[in-house]
Amino acid sequence: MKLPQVELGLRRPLPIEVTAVTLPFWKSLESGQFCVPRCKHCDRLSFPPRKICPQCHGDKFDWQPLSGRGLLYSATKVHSSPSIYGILSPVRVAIVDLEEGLRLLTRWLPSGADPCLDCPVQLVITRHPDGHHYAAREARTHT
Amino acid sequence: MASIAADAMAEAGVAPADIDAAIFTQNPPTTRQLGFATFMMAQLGLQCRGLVTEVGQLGLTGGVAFDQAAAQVQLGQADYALALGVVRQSLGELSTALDFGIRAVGDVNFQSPFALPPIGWYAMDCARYLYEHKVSRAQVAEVAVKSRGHAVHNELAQFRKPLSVGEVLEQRPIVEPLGLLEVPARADGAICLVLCSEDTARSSGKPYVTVAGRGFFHEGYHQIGDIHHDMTAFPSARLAVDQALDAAGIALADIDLAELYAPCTITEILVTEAIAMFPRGQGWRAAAEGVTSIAGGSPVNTSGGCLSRGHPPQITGLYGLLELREQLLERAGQRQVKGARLGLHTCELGNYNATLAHVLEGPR
Repeated sequence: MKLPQVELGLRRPLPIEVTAVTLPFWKSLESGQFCVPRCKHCDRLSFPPRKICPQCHGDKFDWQPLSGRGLLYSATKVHSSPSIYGILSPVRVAIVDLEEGLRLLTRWLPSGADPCLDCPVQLVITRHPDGHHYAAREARTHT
Repeated sequence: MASIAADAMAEAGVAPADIDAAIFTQNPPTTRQLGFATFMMAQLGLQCRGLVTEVGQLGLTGGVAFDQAAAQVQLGQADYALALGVVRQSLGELSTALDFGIRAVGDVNFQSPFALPPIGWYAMDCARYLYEHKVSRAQVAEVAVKSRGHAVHNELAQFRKPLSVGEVLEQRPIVEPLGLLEVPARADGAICLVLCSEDTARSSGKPYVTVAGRGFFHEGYHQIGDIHHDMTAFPSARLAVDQALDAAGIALADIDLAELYAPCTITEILVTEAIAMFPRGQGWRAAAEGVTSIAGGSPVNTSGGCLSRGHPPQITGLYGLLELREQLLERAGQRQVKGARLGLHTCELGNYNATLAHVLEGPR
C-alpha cells in the first residue's frame, strides 16, 4: 500500500543512524510504504524495528506494509525547543494508534483545526533534502 | 554541596571518619565537573570502605541514591552512608538541558527527531485526560494553586507567592495544553541525607525516621509502548507503591501524607489515581476540594512539589524524602500535617514507566 507523500523542503532535525536492523524500514519509506517487522515466530508487529521480538525474543522477521490508517491518541504543540529543532517549528507531535495494533510517536502536520482525539488519521511519508521521514495528519476521505 | 554535606553530618552528629559510603546523584548534562563523586570525596575529606559512586537515571535519580545508601547500610557495608547531590540548571544553556531531555525520553532515531521534551509527554497525558474524562484545563490547574499554597510556608521553596487559577491559566503555553506555571521551572539545589541502621540511630540520641517499606517496578516501556495501551494509567506506580505498603505491613489509608514525584499538574493527578488514592478520572477534584491540602484528608506534596518547591530533576527525589522526614519529626512548621507518622514517597522515570516507592515512618 502506497502512502501519500509530502514535500517538506527542510532537513530532518537529527542525523538518523541507519543500521542493518532498521535499513529495511528506511528503504520502505523510499518506495512509498511504511513497513514494520513481523516476528516469524509469534507474529507480533513491532516498531521501531528491533534486533529481537519484545514478546518472544525471536530474531527472524518479515516486513509488513501498514495501511497508514489509525486514530489520534494524543497530541501536543511544543513552544520551547532547542535551536536545532527550529526547522520543525512549530513543533507538533502526536501519538497515533494504527489499525494494525501498533502505537507510535510522530510529527503532526496540522490542517488548521485543533487535533481531534480518537479521530481518523493518516500516516504520510515526508520528503526532505537528506532523506525520507514520516508524519501523521487528519485523514482525508479523498486519499 | 560541601557545606550542605557538612551541615547534614553535623546535624546527625557524625564525624567525617564515621562515613563509610557516599552515593551521589548522577549529574545533569550542565555540570562541567565530570567524575563528580570522586572529585567531591576530596572536597569533603572522606575515606570510605563502602561504595562511593554516582547513581540514577532521570527522575528516579534521587530515590535511587537514597535506595542505594540504605542498601549499603542493610548489607553491612556502611555504618553511615550519605545520599547526596547537587544540580545547577541555571548555569547551563537551556538548549543543552532541553536537548538532553529530548534524547533521554525518546528513541534517538525514531522519537527524538520529533523534538518532544520530557514535559511534552505529560502534556499528551493531559490532553488525553481532559478528553477522556471531560475535565477542563482550569480544573487540572488547581494542582498548581494547591501546591503553591504549601510552598508559601516552605523556606526551601523556589516560588512562594500565592497563586490563583486565573494566573495559572493566563500564562503563555509551553507544551499544550500546559502553560508556564503547570510545568517545572529551571531549578538549582543541593541536598544530603544521612542514613544508618536503626540501632545506630537510636544510640546516637538524635531524632530519626525509619524506612518501613520499599517497592520498585519497571513496566518494560520507554515512554510509551508500541502497542495500544492506557497511557495515563501509570501501572508501575500502583505496583511499586503496593509493594512498599506490603513491606511496611500497612494499607494506603494508613498513610498520613505523600510526596509524589510530579513535574506537571497532570502528573500529580494521574499518580494519585494510579495508586488508588482517588478513582480514575476523579483525581482532579482533590486539589480543588482541598483533599490534598495540608489540612485535608490526604495531603500530597506539602513541600510545594516540583512546581513550587522546585524541580532540580536529579535531586527532586531526595527533596521529597527530606520533606517526609521534616513532617514525620514534626519540624515542618506552618505546613505540618498534624500527627503525621507514615509518609509515602515516589519517584519515576519516563512517563511513570518505572516507579521507586518508599514508606517512611516517624517516631512511635
